[in-house]
Amino acid sequence: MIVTYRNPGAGFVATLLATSRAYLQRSSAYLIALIRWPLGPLFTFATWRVTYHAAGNGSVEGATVSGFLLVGVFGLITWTSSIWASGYAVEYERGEGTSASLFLTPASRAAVVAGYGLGSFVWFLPSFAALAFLAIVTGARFDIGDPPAAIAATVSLFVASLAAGFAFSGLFILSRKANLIANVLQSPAYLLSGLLIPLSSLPAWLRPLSGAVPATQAVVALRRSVLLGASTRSIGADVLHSLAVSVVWFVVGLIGLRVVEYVAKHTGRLELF
Amino acid sequence: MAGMERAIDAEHLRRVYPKGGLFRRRGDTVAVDDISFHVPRGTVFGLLGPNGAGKTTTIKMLSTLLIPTAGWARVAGFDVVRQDRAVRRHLGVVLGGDRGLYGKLSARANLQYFGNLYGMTTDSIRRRTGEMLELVGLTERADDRVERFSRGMKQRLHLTKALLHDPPILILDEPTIGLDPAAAIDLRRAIAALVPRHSVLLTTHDMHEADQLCREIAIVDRGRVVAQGTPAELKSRVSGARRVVIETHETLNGRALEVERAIGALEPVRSVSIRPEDRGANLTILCDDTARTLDDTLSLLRRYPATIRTVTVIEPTLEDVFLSVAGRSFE
Repeated sequence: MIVTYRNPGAGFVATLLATSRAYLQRSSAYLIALIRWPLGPLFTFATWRVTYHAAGNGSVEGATVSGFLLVGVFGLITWTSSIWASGYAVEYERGEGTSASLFLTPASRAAVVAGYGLGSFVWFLPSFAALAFLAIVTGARFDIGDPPAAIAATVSLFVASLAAGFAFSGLFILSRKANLIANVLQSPAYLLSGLLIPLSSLPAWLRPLSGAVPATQAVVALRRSVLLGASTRSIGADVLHSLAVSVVWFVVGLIGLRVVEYVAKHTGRLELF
Repeated sequence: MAGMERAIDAEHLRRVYPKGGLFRRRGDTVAVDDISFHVPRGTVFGLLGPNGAGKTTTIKMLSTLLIPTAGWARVAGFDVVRQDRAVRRHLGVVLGGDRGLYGKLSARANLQYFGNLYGMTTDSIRRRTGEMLELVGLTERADDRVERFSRGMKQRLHLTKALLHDPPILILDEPTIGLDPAAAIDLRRAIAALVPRHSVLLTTHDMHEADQLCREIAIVDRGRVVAQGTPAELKSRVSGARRVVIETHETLNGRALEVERAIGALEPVRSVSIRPEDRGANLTILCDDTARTLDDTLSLLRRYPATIRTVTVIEPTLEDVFLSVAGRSFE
């Protein structure tokens, strides 16, 4: 029979969706992943809720602590799952022994990396529901005045997380120990993006660095839109800021992916199992 | 690809790996020194050599996983460095070993995923997956996880994956390694059936496999092609490896020298030795043409009181070829 092919754009989308589907199928094959999946976000939320309570804080930046943390943990999970899934894409393939098979195909590497990010985001969606339930039980109050604003902020948070994943993904082609760098960068990224603490508590000299992390303004926009009833117009600047920073991280990541693939093929380090 | 006589061209390929760590370089390892060969369309071409000869490094360069240090190669007319994406579209590769498939996915899900990575349409993926699974006899296990498959089944699935997008050229790296004899025979049959629709480059260190499957063979040793030709051409270059061994019931006592001289005078015979044994005699004849030698020798022996117990004809093998060109045995 004759084999027919998709055009490049449709091929990119199909690769992205197929990768995310394969990621979900593979993840759900592990019992331990199914157990860990809802518990992780719940424990993170509970730990921070108790910490704020012990510090005597009933509200943060005009929102309830539970509401503030709900958005923060949502951002944290989106950020970490996307970064770890997309940034780790090559390392996952290496662990499976499929990295050579992947690099032998003409598929866009960017589509595969993005597919990992999307798969991981979808994988964690049900745990957000459990998290929201816990937040409401512990006093979270929502004020969504403009649903499109909340959607725009959520999308920008996902894009920001994916962009960060792209920026890290190339590292894993060159080194299986790239996760050590990612681990080191994780804590300052949480701090700077204000996921679990108010940005206003950061010292002034750290604020410019905070603005360079793509998720920071997306989290601000999300909090304002779901907890304080902000409109699309009022969060527009934050969303645009986040998207602009994300584009920079994406471009760095895409160039990095191409460069490191070439370097890895040149030095013979592409598919170390 | 259309109208091209050669599926693969490799010219003076060389691949050097730097030795040493991050801060200290200790010279280079030459994995491939100078390899040139051409794979005609619609044939199986073999790269035969011992472990570490440079076969896998060569196919990594041809399949765009490695950039050559020097030399060039074209696959389906596309340059492996400058047009790597086009090369990957026209190429199916089966890498050696057990890896390269997603163990937690079913055979069907693996093929569907790789179909997407090759840019195939949903309809093509669906139809081709069904056809290919049928072809290699995995239809009944199509929805089982690959981690539960035997080595032979995985290898058949590897071949299916490489054929899924119907590439004109296939590279098979030690495809039967680790398989039990029956599974290896099955897979060799499947490989033989690939031509002439596909052109196949097969790397192997199994000389029987190369002899059986390849129209042409390049023997590789220490990163260089040391001999190239059809199996028959290669074997014809080996002198003294053709033998006819005849065992008789009689010891030929007293007439052994006469028989030896008479056989030695036959045209294709190079040398002959007669050795008495417990239950008769053993005649070992080195020659250039085993069929003629056997025919003439049996006619000659009728004149003597010698009844034949066994006859063994030994043709030169690719092992003999390797020994003669590399100056050492294959292992």
